[in-house]
Amino acid sequence: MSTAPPTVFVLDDEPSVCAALRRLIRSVGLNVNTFTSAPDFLQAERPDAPSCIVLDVRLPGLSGLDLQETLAKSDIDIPVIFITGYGDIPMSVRAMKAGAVEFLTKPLKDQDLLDAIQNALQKDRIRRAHRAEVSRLQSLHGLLTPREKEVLPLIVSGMLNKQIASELATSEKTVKVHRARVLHKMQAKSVADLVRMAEKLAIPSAKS
Amino acid sequence: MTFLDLTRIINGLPEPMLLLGAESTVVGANPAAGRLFATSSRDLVGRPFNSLVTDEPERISQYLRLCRRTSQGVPGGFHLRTSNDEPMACKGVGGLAGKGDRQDSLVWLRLLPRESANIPFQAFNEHRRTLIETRKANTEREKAREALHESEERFRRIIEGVADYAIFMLDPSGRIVTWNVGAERTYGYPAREVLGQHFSMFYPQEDIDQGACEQMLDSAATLGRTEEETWRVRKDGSRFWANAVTTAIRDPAGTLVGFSRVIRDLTERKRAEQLLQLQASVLRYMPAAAWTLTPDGVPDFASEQWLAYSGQTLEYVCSAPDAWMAVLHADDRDRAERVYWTGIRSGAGFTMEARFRRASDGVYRWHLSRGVPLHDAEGRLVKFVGTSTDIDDLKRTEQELRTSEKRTRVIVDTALDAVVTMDADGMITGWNTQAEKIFGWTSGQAVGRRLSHTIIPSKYRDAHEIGLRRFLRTGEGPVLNKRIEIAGQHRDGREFPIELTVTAVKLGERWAFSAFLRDITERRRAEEALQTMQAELARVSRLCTVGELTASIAHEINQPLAAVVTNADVCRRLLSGDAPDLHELREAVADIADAGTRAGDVISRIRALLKKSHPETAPLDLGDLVREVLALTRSELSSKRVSVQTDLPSALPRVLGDRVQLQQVILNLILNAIEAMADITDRPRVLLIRSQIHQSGDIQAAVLDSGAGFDPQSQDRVFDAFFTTKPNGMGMGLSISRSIIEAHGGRLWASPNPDFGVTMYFTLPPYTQSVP
Repeated sequence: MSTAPPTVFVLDDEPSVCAALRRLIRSVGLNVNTFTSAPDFLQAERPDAPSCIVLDVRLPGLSGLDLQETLAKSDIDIPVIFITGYGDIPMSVRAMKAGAVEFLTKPLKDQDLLDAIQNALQKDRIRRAHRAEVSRLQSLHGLLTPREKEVLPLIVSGMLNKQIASELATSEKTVKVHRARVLHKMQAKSVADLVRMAEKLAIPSAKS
Repeated sequence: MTFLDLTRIINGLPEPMLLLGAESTVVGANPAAGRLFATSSRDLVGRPFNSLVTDEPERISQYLRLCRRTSQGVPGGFHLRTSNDEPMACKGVGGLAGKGDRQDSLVWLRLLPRESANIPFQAFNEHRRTLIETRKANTEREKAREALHESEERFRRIIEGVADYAIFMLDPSGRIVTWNVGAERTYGYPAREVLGQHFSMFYPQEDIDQGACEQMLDSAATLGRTEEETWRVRKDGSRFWANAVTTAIRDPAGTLVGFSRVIRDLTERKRAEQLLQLQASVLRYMPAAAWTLTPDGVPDFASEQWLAYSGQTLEYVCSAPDAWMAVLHADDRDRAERVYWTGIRSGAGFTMEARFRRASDGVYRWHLSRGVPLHDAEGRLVKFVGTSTDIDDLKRTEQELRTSEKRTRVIVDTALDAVVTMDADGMITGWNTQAEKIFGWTSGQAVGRRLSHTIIPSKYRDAHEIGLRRFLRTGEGPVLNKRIEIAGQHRDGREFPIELTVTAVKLGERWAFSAFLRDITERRRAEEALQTMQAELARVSRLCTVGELTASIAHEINQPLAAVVTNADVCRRLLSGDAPDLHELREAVADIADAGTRAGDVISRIRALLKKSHPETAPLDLGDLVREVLALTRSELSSKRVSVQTDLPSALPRVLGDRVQLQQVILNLILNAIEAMADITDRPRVLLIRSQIHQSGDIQAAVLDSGAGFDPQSQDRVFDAFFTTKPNGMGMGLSISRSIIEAHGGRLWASPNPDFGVTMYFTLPPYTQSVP
């Protein structure tokens, strides 16, 4: 895990709003980067640290919602807090569906925003941790032979060695060796542990 | 030549001669004078000259005094008491005889037809001097005899001196024995070449051959006197027409002692007579009914045409003053008579139109009869001459014209417009019923009045008069032939708006003007009401337009408010800490103030756009107007992802107009452009606004979009009210925008761009400092 301090990105076309938000967020000890347009933000470097975006729905050129889409497409999964001066229901629904953590209307209540930011950062920390775990499991998974990769879903689906052998048209003894190797390579303490890993790797069980 | 001879010669002269003695009494007269006064020459003797003429006695005696004094021919003129004051020229010759008293000296008066009044007389001065010298040497008795002799001598000298007549004497055989100046002048021979010659030398050969000379002398000897008019031959061989009076001279015993001959060259008279004859025949046969009247109004001549037309004979026409009136139409008689006699009595002549019956078919035809007076050199009325012209066809045309005029008049009178005509002097010549109604003057009152003082308010009168004069001088009339609105004045002084069209027509040499006027008070009222309604409609439309912008505007206001609130929160947080960062606090507070001001600005702008007020015109910078509207729509533009470019030069002249209404137009055009680009995804959404000076001199603004453009069917209709392509549109935007621009004297139109989208243009007249 990185030790870099959490950073809040603020995107609002109104410089005075950016300035005010920067002041507010800095007052609670967080790093703030402000941008007045989406391309500026996209071109900027982002530190490897828990972060979130405070995003105005109305932005010139590329709107907040468009940016949200763009980020999702680029697999940049930063939590988004939408702020708007004139929020309407369809817009907020769309934003929330697209994964926004919060939808706040201006003028903002300082505590609401700060809470939302803390929540988002927390969410990002979790997301980042989860992502780190998945990444570790994926590299372990990569060590498995094709046959072991075939056996894994059958193990996590709770099948007995005999059943697996019959499924794969091999001997029970061979399946037993594969099971031991998969558990070892995946550094799983038990089959239950392996089942949790498979879930994280989004490997479907053979039965389901 | 004896006194008797001379007396005879005088008696034989065709011209009347009077010898006036003391007190201007006639002491001698020749037969011609007797004839002139319709009496015998003997009866004239003893009568005062005054009794023979009608002229002022003072004038007569003045004239005779002059004659006595000068001994020269004194031209003069008298009106004879006979035959209607017949004017007569005369030559008075004085200085005859005398007992040393000029007052009593004799005067010869030659009474002449007027045209020969200026025949020169020989001067007698020299002779008179000789006479006086001789007289001095004589005794009283001798004086008496001398007097007679002198008289004889005088007469002889008179005869010799007469230059206008050839007067000479012949012996009984016809040989010339005396020869006067007139004879020398007439025939061209000096005395020495003719004395002793036979008088036949003056006759043409053919007359001589026929024995004319002998016959003439025979008849003179027999009758005592002959008169002939024949050709005579001058020395140079040329011939002349001569009047010759030959008088036989006999001594007291009756023996023929010779002949006196008085020859007058009639060539001129003959020529004049011929001319006169020609003129008379011209007059008689001229293709017009011509006639002459005596000063009393009695016709004394009528041309053939008149006689043929009327069927009257000349005798009948001349028989009575009213004979010609027999062919007058009964309806015209009274009037014609009145006009005729008024003209005759006043001496001024007359002009009348009357119908006369045509003898050939009994039809009455209109004639224009005009008689003009003829005066002699001294202003005396001699005659009336005149013509009667058949004007029946003209009259008929005139009648038709009059009917058509009458019809026109009915049309004009029943016209809904006031029709007023004016002459070049600015006087009213026509005034119809409607003019009576709207201006309060009746036709009778108005016609003849000065137009400017009748219907034009005093403050415009000078301009009217100056304009009229300028038009008459230069032919330029800026108000002519176009419809203008101006103030008129009612008889009661009330001013009211009128619509006026003036046309100028040249009638002959003079200009005439006709004006069609309409009271537009009601229309003005309606227009004002309409304007109020339009302004209200524009305002409502503006509210709707601004309503469309609500989201954007709310955002515009909300943004600074958001900054204010957040900054305020920051301040509170900083202040609640132990060691507040003062620098940070100061900046936050400054930002609060800035943002608050900005929010206030937005609100003012919106309020200005929404306030209900009467249109106010002021000089405005078009660029400023556009920038302010863009500030309001910035958020709308950005949320619709439209990028804006402007080209608004600051050096353009300003325009005169109402800020709110013009901004409404600009707002409308911008929102339309945004709308037009809403569905565009394959190219940038660009709004370009620029201003420039149009070639007409107006200020032109153009709003370009890169949108879908009009479909061809709706292009013509986009300016119609209630036409809209928007689901929620009222369809009033462009219609109202256009009426706003047109009310500002400009134009608004649309034009498709060569590539994409549409350009909306509008022009406005530039504001000039000068008062129009």
